Amino acid sequence: MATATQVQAESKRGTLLLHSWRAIWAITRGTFKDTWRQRIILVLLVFGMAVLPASLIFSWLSAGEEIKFVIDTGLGTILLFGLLMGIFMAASMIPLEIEHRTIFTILSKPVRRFEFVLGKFLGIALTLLVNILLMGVVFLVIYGVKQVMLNAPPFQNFVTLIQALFLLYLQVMLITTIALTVSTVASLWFNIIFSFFVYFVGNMSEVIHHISTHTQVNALRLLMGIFNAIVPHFENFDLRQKLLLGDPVPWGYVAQVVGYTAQYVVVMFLIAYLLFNEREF
Amino acid sequence: MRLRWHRGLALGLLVLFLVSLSATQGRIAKVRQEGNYRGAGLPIERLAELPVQDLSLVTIGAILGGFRSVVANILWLKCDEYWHQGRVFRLVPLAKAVVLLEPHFIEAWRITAWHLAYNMSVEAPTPEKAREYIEMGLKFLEEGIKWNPDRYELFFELGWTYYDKLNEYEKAAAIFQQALQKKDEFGSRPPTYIWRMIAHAYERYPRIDEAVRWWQIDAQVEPDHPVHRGALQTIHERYVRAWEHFERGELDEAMAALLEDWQKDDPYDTIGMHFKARIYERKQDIDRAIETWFEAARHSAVDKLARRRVIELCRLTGRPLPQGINDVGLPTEVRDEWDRWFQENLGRHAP
Repeated sequence: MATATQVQAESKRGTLLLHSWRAIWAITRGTFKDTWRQRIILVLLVFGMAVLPASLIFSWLSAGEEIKFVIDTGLGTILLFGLLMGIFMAASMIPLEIEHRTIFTILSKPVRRFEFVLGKFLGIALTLLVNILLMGVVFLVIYGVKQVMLNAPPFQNFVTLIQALFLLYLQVMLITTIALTVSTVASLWFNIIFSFFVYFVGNMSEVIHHISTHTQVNALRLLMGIFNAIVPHFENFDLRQKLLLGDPVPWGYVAQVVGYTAQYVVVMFLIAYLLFNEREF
Repeated sequence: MRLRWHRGLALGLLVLFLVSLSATQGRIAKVRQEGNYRGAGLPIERLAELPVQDLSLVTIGAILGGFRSVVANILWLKCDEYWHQGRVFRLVPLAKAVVLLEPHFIEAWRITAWHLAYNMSVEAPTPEKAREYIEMGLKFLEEGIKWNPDRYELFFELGWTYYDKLNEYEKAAAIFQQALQKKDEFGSRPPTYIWRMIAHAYERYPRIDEAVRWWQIDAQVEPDHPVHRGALQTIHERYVRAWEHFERGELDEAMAALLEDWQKDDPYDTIGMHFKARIYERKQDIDRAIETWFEAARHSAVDKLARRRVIELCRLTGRPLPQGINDVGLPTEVRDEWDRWFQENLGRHAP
């Protein structure tokens, strides 16, 4: 039987947890609204949605491979604009709060630094979700139109396309988390350059793996092995081969990539927690 | 103190998650390897094949990751530009970079192989060099097939190159039959002209029984198509009787039937000439066989099978090879050479 002190302690813990979520949700909502006030995000969204239909025109230049052209251009455009939005939002969020000194107002309230970062992350995640969803819908319509123009079933490979879009979102979220973590200690432009660097290196993870398994130099093997373990493997999110071959993708695979992303996000948050808590303003 | 405890826990969790992340990555990599997900990855071992000037393009493409296909598409448009400028020798290395970046770009495999086997081979300075370009085109298609074993297009292109460029009809027919087992980009069955191409290939070898069989299959697949009706009628009128004798080993009767049925309406055609030459070959009358193949080669500037058989039969019987004859890229002004060769080796004028 629980004692009165235990009940009180649990009640206090419950209240704290509820308070914590309230604080996170308040920051999430605020961040979501803030991001939509940034003109650059709207400009990127408009550009992205304008470039997507252009794939219909350019696909005529690649007779015989028109669907491939539409898929490549569509997914490439969404990824590019998603990356630009995610990296820019994440990299600018905390440095701008510091520059505008709004962070002091927020942190002077009963909001823990970790809650602040988590709220920011969720706000950006929500904005990216809406943006990628909008571009994704335009892309799927274009894909359907192209299929009809080629006398093919409009919804062929539809599930795989949805899965590809979902993994694309996770990919953007992963790089956004890295940018957000770095933003706890670094300036805006350093962070933008660093995040793109990580993206490029992450896309060369197979090369890194190849070197780590083929080199005769022990030090290089060790270094590349560490690199291979740390660098995000962005090829995990790529379903283009399946799309081109028309093969279905098992949901189990998608679940594995979700698990991979979740673990990477947790790792990044732990680093953000360690860095941000140490930071003095 | 409390913060230090938190920091320790966070560091511990960090190490734990990094280890777990590595294990998850290992599992995903295995699934991707076994489940044919790869393709996003750059086949590093093939980089050495590339010319230096294109290596940088591929490296840029590689680091662009998710945008690699877009880069491949843009480079492909550049290839098209080179083609229209007549710079086909610059186009091919760039196209190789394209398929390295995007091995599932069927059109890039197909059109590059066509440039090699057709456009570059006709500009080759010697027949040997022409043959080399055709071989390169065929190899290119075979490599494309390794990457895209389920699509019919590259099988068809390979079969077509053997059929049209080298006149290796039996090989072409076998590859066309493989193409029939594959699908197009929408997962649908390949076009029906492949059935007809198989029949055409067997006609020209000739294997009249197989040609008839495939025309009949075509009639079942597409009953309203006019081609098989005409083809079956012609084959029956001209060659079936002779073929039946040929199959029974009645070679004199086969020749008589062929000359009677075939030349009744049409004094010359490829199928008839090839059939006639095959009858002489079966009769071991090599002089007459060579003469007939020669005649076929003279009548048709694109009859590479006839030229090849002349070479093969000369080699078989230890005769010197006639000058200027090659199964690809044959120079046109060789009539006098041929006549001299005929006088010296067969004791008569060229047909």
